[in-house]
Amino acid sequence: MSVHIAFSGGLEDLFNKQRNLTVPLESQLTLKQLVFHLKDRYLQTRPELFMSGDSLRPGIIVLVNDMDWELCGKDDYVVQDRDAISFISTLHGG
Amino acid sequence: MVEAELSPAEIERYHRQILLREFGLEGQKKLKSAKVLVIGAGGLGSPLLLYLAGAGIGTIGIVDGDVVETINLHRQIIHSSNNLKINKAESARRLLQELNPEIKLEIYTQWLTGESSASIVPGYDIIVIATDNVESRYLISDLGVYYKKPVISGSALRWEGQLTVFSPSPCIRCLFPQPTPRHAWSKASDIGVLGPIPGVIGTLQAIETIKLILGLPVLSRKLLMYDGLSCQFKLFQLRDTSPTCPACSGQINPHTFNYAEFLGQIPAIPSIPDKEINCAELKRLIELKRVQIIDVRNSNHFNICHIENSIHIPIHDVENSSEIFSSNEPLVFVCKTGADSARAVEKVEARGIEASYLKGGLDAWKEAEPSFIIF
Repeated sequence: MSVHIAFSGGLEDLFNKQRNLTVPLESQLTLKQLVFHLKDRYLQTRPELFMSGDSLRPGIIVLVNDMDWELCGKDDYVVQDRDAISFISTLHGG
Repeated sequence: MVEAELSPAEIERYHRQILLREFGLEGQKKLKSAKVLVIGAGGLGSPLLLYLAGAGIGTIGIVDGDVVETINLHRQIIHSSNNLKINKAESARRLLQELNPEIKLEIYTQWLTGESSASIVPGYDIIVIATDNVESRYLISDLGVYYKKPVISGSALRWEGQLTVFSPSPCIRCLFPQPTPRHAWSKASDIGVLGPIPGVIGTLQAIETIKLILGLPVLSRKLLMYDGLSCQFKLFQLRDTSPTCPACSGQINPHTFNYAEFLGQIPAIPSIPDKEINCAELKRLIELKRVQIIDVRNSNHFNICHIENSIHIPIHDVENSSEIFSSNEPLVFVCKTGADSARAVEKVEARGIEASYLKGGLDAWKEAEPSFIIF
């Protein structure tokens, strides 16, 4: 199975400036495990901008198939084949 | 809201929008009676204020403690080169009053704070976030919840913008109970912004404001994301009010809440006195050709300006750079303010490499060398 990952709001800078990634998965992962997987396998620089301790850094919103991850179980959601998962860093500029 | 009557001149001015099925004379009267508070007369505020004034919002409040600078003008198009050093709320007022003398403009030439907001916010129906920082976003969202007023939130950076409406709940704390940590705050002054990006988002904020006044459904519980590079708009469904949100459950008084503490301590600016050199000392080393300057700013900043013969190693690459080992000359790190270059000294010291850094950074260098251009 594989999932489509999208980064925005500057998070793409941490992943080799890629806004979109297709990530093959050998086993089923929860969203929390997926976050670690992305950090361990794909993140290139400045992990402190992606994670704080063992969770996602505050200020990042996660969307699963265009829906807030809070609406589908957050950390515990089990990622499905071909899910589209977006990591969006909230912007403050104006 | 008390509905106002419209004069023939007003009907002429607003005729094309009155023609809209959702508008009519009644809609225009609603706009005339409405009081909208815009916090920030910058990149978002520029088109937003122009469209709100053009549309005939009866009373517009503008809060901004900043002054107009040349560096603002590529995006803050409500201001002009003739208004440099003038307060932005005042500068905006001048153009808006020319655009539409029929409306009332109330300006507040100060920063919005928990304290100052108490005398400003209660007089308005809708609050619009057009600021550029984390603290004001929490403060304004909290004010919206506290006074039960909808808040229209926009933001923009680089090629991207975001838009949502807190009406007033779910609020910013429902979405982000913990604020973005300071080390992850990004600013236009560091990473840039294309002028029309806040233009697009500010314009969308004007549309949502007008819809709110007309009683039309707005972008509540949804996030709109605009990416100018791929020319894509994406709309996402957001969570409902959080049962644990301290603001929505009435535990936050924005006039007394300690925002500085909530956002976390400002990290102390690192300083290592025995590793500092000043501009005169650096100049001397350059003349003697006895120095390797390493500039640790990011590449776009470096490409705009740098001291001649500096090499470029961005701060986040300093730890792993092999170039640092290969220099035979004394190393001097430079950055904009002296903070990152002090951190760079600490990083290479940990690897047993001696280095110093330019005190006050390139900002200080500019004072000593007026021909050096840095912003």
